[in-house]
Amino acid sequence: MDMGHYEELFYQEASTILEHIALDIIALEKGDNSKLEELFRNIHTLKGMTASMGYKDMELLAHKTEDLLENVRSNTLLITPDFIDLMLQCSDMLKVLFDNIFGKKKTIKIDKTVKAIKNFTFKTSKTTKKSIPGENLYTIKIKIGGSPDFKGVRAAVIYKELSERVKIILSIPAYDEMVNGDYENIVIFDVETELKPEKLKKFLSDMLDVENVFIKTRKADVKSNEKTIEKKGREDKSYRNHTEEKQSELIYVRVKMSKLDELQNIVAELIITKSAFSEYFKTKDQTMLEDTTQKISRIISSLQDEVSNMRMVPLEEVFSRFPRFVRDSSKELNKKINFVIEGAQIEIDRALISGIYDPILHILKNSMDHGIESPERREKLGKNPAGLIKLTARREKNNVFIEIFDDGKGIDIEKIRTMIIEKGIFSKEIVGQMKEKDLINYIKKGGFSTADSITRFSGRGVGVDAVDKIVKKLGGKLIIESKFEHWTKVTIQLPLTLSIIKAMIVTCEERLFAIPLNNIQETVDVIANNIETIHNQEIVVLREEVYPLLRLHNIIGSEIKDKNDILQGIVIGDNISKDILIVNSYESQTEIVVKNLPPLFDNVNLFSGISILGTGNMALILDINNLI
Amino acid sequence: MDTKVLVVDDALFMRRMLRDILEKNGYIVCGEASNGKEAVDKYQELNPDFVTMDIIMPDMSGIDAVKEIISIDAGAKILMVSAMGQQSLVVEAIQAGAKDYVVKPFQAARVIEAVERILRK
Repeated sequence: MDMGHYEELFYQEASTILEHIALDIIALEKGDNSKLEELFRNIHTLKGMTASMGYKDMELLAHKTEDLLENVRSNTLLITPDFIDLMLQCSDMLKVLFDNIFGKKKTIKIDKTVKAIKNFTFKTSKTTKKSIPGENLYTIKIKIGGSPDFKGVRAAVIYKELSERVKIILSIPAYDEMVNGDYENIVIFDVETELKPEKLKKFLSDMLDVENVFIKTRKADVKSNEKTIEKKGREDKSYRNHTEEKQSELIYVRVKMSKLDELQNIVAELIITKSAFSEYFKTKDQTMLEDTTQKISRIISSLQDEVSNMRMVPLEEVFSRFPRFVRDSSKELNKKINFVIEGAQIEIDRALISGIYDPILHILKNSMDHGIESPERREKLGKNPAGLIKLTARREKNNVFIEIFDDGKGIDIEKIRTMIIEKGIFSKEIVGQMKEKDLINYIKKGGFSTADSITRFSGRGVGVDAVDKIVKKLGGKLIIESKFEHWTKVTIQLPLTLSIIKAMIVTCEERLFAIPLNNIQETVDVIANNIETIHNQEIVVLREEVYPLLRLHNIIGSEIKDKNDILQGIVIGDNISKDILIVNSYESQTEIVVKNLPPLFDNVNLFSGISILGTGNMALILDINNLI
Repeated sequence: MDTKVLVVDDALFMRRMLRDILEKNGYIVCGEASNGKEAVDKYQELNPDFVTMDIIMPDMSGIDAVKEIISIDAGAKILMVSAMGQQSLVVEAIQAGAKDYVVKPFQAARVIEAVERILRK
C-alpha cells in the first residue's frame, strides 16, 4: 500500500507524541507516577504508528522502550535515576530517528541503545528474581479487539476457556461486568496454574479477537511487605525517619470536581459577605454588623466541613489489600481462615490512612500465626476447623475504632504474670492483685511475647510494642482484650482527624501549653506534704497507687519551686505508665487546630506542635508520649 | 480425514452461504438443519465433527439445542452464528458449552479462522 499520503498525518501526530514522551519521563523522574500510564500509551501508540508506516528502526526502538516500561508497570523494575537516564536516551534516539525520516540526515545506530535496554532489564531482573518466589502465580493482561458490540461475549469466551485451564483468582473487571462489555479493551486475570507461561500465551494469542497478551509472574507482595515491616519493627528510629520522609513527599490527591465547585461557592459567599463590612464602616449600623458576623461564622463552619470532608477517605483503600494477604498467608501457614471485613466504608483522615496499613498488617499476622490454631487442633478443641478473623471499623463520636478479632487461642494471662515476676518488675503479691486488663497491657512492652515458637512468618512476636508506638504516633491508642483459649481482640482507636483535636490548656510560668485530651486520664489536687522522694524521683500515692511526679516548670527549664500547699496535677499516660504532671493552673478545655512546628524545633521532642488560640495567644502542644 | 460439519440455520440463504464457505475450504457439510430439534436429531444421526448454530429458530432455539447436544456429547464442538443484538444470548450459549461465535454478517476468513481454532483444541 502507498503510505505516502499518510506521511503528513504521521508527522503531525508523532511529533506531538514525541514531545509528550519526553515530558512524561521528566514528570516520572519528579515522582509523578500518574504519568506512567500516559507514557506507556504514548510509546505504544508510536510503536503502532511507526510499524504501519514501515519505519523499522523507530518501530524496533519504540518496541524495546515499551518493554522496558512494562517492567516498571508490573513492578519488576523500580524507577531509578539509571532507569530515567535510559528512558531519556531512548526518547532522544526516537526523536533523532524521526527527524531523519523528515529531512535531517544524522547517522545513528540504535543497536547500542537496544542493547543497553536489554542489559538493563536483564541485570535488574536477575536481582529481583531472588526476592520473587511467586510460585505458579501469574498476572495476564489481554487486549481484546474485534467488534466492540461483542466484546462482552468475547470476554465470556476467554474467561470460560481460561477457567478450564487455570485457576482464576481474580479478574478485572469482575465477570459480570466483563460479559456486559463494561471494560475498555483490556482485561486482567490473576491466575494460578502449572502451565508454562509460554504455553498460556500461545493458547490465548490464538483466540479470536485477542490482540495482545502480556503474562507476568506475579510478585508475592506479601513477602516483600513482611521484610520491610520486620525491619521497621526492629529499628524504631528508621521507622520514624521513614514516616517523616513519607510526609515530606509530594502527595497528590484526586478531588471530585463537585467538591471544588462547592468550595468555590463558599468562597464566593465569603467575598460577598466581606463587602458588607465596608458597608458597616460607612453606616456603623450595629445590627448589620451582628448579622454579618453571624453569617461569616456560618460560612466558615461550612468551609471547615467541606475541607475536612475532602481530607476523608474510606478505609476500604487500606482494607481492600488484606483479603489477598490473609488468603496467601493462611495457605502458607496451612490454616483455614474465614476473613470478614465490616465497616470498610467508614471514612478517616487522609493523613492517617497510609499510617494504619502497617499496624493492621502486624496484628493480622499475629492473629494468623499465633492466634488461630491449626485445623486439627481446633477440631480437638471443639472449635470450627476454620478460624475466624474479623476486621471491623466503626465510628464513635470523633474516634474511629478498628478492631481485629480472632477466635484463636487468646492470650495466656498467667504467662504474663510469670514473666512480670521473672523480669523482676513487680513482686508476686502485687502481680497477684493486678487486674487482667492491666496485665494484658504488658504485652505492649518489648520482650513480652507469649508466643511459644518463633516462626519465619511473623518472627518473634512481631512487636506489639512496635505497633503500639506507631499507633501512638498517629495520635491513637491500642487496646488489647482477650479470653484465653477463646479469642483476642485488638482495637486501634484513632482520632477522626489529626489537625483538630480536643485539648486542655494549662499555664506554667505564665506560658500556655496544650495537652491533648486523649492523653489525660483525670485531674487531681496534689497535697504538697504528701510528696515523697525515692531515688531522686518525686512520687505521690493516690488511691493506693504510686505515681511518679513530673513538674512542668522543671521540664521547660525553670528553677523556681512551687510554694503552694495544693498543687494542680494531671494524670497523664495510659494504664501501664501513668504519671502526674504538675502545672500552675488549668485554663480551659477546647478544640485546637494543630500546626506543625518549624524545622528549628526538630531536635526538641517535648512538643508535638503548636496552636493559636481564639485569644490570639499561642500554646505549645505537649508530646505526652515523650514525656513519660 | 475429512471433517464433517452440520450447518444449523432456519434461513436457507444462510445455510447455503455457510455451506459454500466451508466446502470451499475443504470441509464436508454432512447435513443441514433448520431448527433446534432437527439439529439435535441430526447430530445424533450424523455425528459431525462440529456444528454451526444459529440462535433464533422455530421449534427449539439454538441455545436449547446447544444444551441438548452438550448433554448428549460433552465434547461437542459448536460455533454460534449470531446477529447483532444477541450478545446476551451468545454468552448464554458459551456458558452452556458452545466453543466460540461469529457475528453476521461475517467474512469467510473469519468463519474459517473460528472453525480451525475450535478443531485444533
